[in-house]
This record gives sequence, C-alpha cells and structure tokens, in this order.
Amino acid sequence: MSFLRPLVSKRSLHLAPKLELQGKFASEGISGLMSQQQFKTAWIDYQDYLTKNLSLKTVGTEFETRTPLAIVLSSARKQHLGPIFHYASQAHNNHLFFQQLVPSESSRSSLIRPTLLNRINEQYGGLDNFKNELLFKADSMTGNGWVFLIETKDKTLQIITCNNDGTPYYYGRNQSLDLNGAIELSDYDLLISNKEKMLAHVKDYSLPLLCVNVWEHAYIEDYGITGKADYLEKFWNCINWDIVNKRVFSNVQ
Amino acid sequence: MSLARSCISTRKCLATLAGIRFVSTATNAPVPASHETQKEIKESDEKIENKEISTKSIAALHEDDDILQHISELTVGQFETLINSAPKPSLNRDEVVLKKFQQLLKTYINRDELKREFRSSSSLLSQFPNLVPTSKSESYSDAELAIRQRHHAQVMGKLGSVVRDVYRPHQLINRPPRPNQITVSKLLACGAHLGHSTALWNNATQPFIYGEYKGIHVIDMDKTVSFLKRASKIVEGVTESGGLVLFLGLREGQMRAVKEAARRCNGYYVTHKWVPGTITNSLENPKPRQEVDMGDIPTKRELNQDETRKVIKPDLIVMLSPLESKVAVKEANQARIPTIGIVDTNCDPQLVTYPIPANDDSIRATNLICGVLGKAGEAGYRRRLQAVRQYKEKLSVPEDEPLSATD
Repeated sequence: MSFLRPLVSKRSLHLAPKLELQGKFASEGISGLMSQQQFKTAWIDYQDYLTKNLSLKTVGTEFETRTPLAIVLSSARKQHLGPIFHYASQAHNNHLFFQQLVPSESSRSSLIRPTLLNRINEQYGGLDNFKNELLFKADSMTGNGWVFLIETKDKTLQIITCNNDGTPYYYGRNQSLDLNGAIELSDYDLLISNKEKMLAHVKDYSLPLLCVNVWEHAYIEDYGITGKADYLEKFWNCINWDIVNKRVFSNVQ
Repeated sequence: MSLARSCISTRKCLATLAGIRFVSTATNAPVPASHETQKEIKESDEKIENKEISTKSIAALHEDDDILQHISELTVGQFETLINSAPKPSLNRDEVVLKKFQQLLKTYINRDELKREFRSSSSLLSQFPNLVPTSKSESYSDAELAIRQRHHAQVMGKLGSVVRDVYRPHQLINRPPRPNQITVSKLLACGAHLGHSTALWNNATQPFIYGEYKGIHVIDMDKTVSFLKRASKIVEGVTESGGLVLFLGLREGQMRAVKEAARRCNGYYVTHKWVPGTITNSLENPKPRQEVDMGDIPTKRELNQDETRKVIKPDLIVMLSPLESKVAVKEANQARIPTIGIVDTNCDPQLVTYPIPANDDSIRATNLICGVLGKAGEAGYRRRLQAVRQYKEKLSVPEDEPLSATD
C-alpha cells in the first residue's frame, strides 16, 4: 500500500521578482558596486521580506490582487493605510533601482538616448553637472530614502529626494521634506501648498526615470557607515542606460 | 567620352543614395534609377549629342562657318544616325517599375496580415496616427499624458512583485478559457463541484455525482469537463453552420457574461426575465427583416409574405440554470430547439438536450462555463466567415457583395 504524501503547495500573493542577471549577482555580486552578501541583503532578502509582508497586509482587502504600484497610488492619500503603502512603495522603488543596475564593465556599452541627453544638457548644462547634482542630493540626505530623476507634465526633468518610503508618483507622498526636525519657512510654504493641492485633487503626472537607493542597508555592508559617497560614485558607473532609455517617453516616433 | 563617364558616376551616386543598386549591363549605358536621374540622363544625352555634334561642327567650323548648313547637308539617314549615335537609356526601368508594382500589389493583397504584424511589433505611438504631438517647449497634452501613462504602465507598471495565479473576476468575461484549456482545477476553483443538499437530490443526476460530503453532493469534475467540451463543440457547430444561439442567464451576476458570450458568437441573450411565449406565442414579429448570405452580407432579396411573417427562432438555447427557466425549457421543447444547460444535483438532466453537470448557484462557475461556450461559438463563427471569404475569393466575388443562390 503506497503512502501518499499530501501535496501542500505554499504560495504567497506577491512573489519577489527575479532580475535578469540575478543568478550572476547572487554568486558574484554586482561587480563595481556590491558584493555578493550586500546584494543578498539589499535585494534577495529585502525584496522577499517586502513581498511577504505586502501579501500579509493586503490579503482580504481590496488591494489583494493589485500590483505594488497600484497599491501605492490608491493608498498614498490615506494615512491609515501607512503600513500597506510602506511595503508597496518600497517593493516598487527597490525593484526600480535594481532593474537598472549592471556590472560596471557592461555599463560602458550602454549609451543615453539623445532625447534624454539633450534634455539633461539643456536643464543641467551637461551630464557631469547632472551627475554631480544627483549624487550631491543623495549624499546630503540624512537618513534613508531614495533620489529620483522624474519627468513632469511639462516635459521638464527634476531631481527629487524621497525620505524613507516616499514615492515619486505623488507630490503629497513623496516625503521630500525631512520633518524630523525644524524646517525652513520655504519648506513650510511647500507643505501648505501641497496640502491645498491635495484638497483640490490636483493630479501629479510625474514619472520616474532613474533611481538612487540611499537606504543604509544598500551600502553599509560594503562601504561602512562613512562610505556613502564612494557608493554613490560607484553607482553611477553601474547604470544600465538601455533600461533607463526604455523608461523615457517621447511623443514623436 | 569623359563627359559620359562623369555622368555615369553621378548617376551611380544617385542610385545608391536612393537605396537602389543596379548593375548596368552595358558598360557605357547609363543606368536610370528615378525621374530626376532620367532628366539628368536626357540632359547628358543632349550634352553628348551636342558634344559630338559640336566636335564635328568644330571640325566643320574649321572647314565651314555655318554649322547649320553642315547639318542640313546631311542626308536623312546620316542625320538619324547622328541623332541616335548617343547611347539610349536602357529599358531596365520598366522592369524596375514592374517589380516595385508587384511588391506593392503583394503587400496590398496581404494587407490584413500586415496590419497584425505591425501591431505586434509597432511602438505605442503608431497605434495613434492622429495624435498631434506638442512641441518641446509645451507641456504634454491630455492625449499625450494618457499615452505616456500607458507607456509607463507597460514598462514599469508591474515592478515590485510578481502576482500570479490570482482570481480576477473580469478575466472570466474578457478572456475566458478556450474549450481545450478547461481543467478540473479551474472548475474546482470556481466551486463548480458543489452540489445541493442530499435531501434535495434528483436521482437522475446519479451518474454525475462523485460522492457526498458534509451533507451535500459533490459533482464529478471529470464528467463536467467532458460534458462541457461536448457542449462547446455543439455551440461551435451551430455557429459555424450559420445558426442563432440564444444565451439565457436570469440571475443578476450573470448579465455581463451572457452579454459578452452572445456578442462573441453573433448570438442573442436574455438576462432579466424570460417572457413566457417568446417563441411559442410570438406577438411581435421582428421587422424589418432581411435575408443574409452565409457571410452575413444582406442579399437584398424581396421576401415573400410567408417569410416576412415567419417567427424567427433560435437554433440553440444555452441556459445557465434550466431549473429557474422551466418556461423557456418547455417552449424550446415545443419548438424543437436543442438546449444546453447547467444541471445541478437537484435538477433533472433530461430538461435539456445537452446537460453540463455543475453548480448553477456559483456565479463564478456559470460565468466560466458561459465564457467557454461563448468562446467556442466565436471560433465557429470566425471559421464560417473565413470559409465564405475564401469561397468568394475563388469565385472572384467582391467581399461586400452577397453570394447569389446560384453561387
């Protein structure tokens, strides 16, 4: 009499996605940026953690089967959905960051498309200036967060800092101000104007193009607590511009 | 000669610029590539002629001052040889034009397939040919914002996690599975195996029952799969033969599925109430009515009185719960219309011609079954139209025109 082992399949609603070069990164790390252990912490373990918690938090709710971005957009305005928003936003931002990374050797073969490069040159006066500004903003962030290059409705590019789990998609929840201490008057004005815009349901058409991970767990194992600047410098050399190019929208063929 | 050679080189440049490459058969013959080069050739020919004449005339000048007199002294034959001494442009251009036209004709004939090719590999913007793009300095227009959002959704919308094997209710209506894609697990997930309480059992459903559990009968899903496949074949056959299928879903949640299924196979639906006498006591005679050929093109034939007065009946009725539509069942029997129906454990399977044993109380299950049948009907409908189209092509009848009785 054969013994039939009951087939119990475990699956969660949200599964951590697999990067294109995940196998390579898992064994060697991202050469030029992260070691194998650092990559495991920042992506494999962290994304797993985020998706598991997102599943647990959304099961039985209206967000059950939605993608992380959809959850972000529907819970951004609701403060009581803070935990759900946190996991969804982090999951989306983290994937956005890791999707654009390649080993530094391969990064040299990818070029920025002219539409994006021209806009960067127009607004920042050159790629180096843009790089410096982006990395400076990332470096000057005290605490964890993300720095995004976004394209607004006016076809202008902006570099925004998002503290902790802020999202670049909505001005009311990008958490660009560090409210942990005193803020300047201009920041206060920004808060008030944001609140007015939110009450008036003003839409935000910003879309992210490039992402910098300024969360500590992304660099602390390799670079230590003081190595943020080194990490940011090395990050610039590991960007896969092909991926970034695909993200850019142009209204002419 | 040097002039002719320089002409050839320029022409070659132009030819490669235009993207066309020719190998001229004649070494001296200039190869034409387009109208512009044609003009150039004519000019060059004239130049050559002029040069030749001029050389001759220059020679003549030494002899005679009057060039025209020299020419007039030539005989007709000599003059003609002089005129025709310049190399004529080859007639390759006819072949070229013919080849191009043939290519164009081929693409035009296969334009339906071409459209599909383009759609799959084209960018998002090519789907919106009428979009007026805004300039660099302006902000995006509303239309552009919508397209931009769609582009973003395609590229980055799903980033963050992978959501797989999840029940999305609208998919049962928008993308129902095909008959060959039905599995027991899909049906189980819909709850199609849950029969009624054992107290309400209709004994005739005994062959469909798997067993008893917690006071209810459990329907055998293997049987459901085979009966459902059979029913799909029937719907497919009816639509392929040009028949009318009527979908009957009288419950509230079944409306969308029933509507969509009817739309797919060019059929009809009844959702809220089956008016008793719809078939057997038809009071309103649908008018105006027209005859259509097998490709659904109106034949514009004058119908005689009998044909105008005749009651139009469906050729197949699909009932999502025959127990709740007993009046419709009776009318179908009276009018000798075959029926397909979802038969639960409390329902008599002999109510319908082709029963499908499943849970009729689960809207998810009925939506799935209705979707599968609609999809099968769509396949048959498409096959019919395709067959008629091919037949019309063979007879070289244009697509818009109906087939006459003699065809």
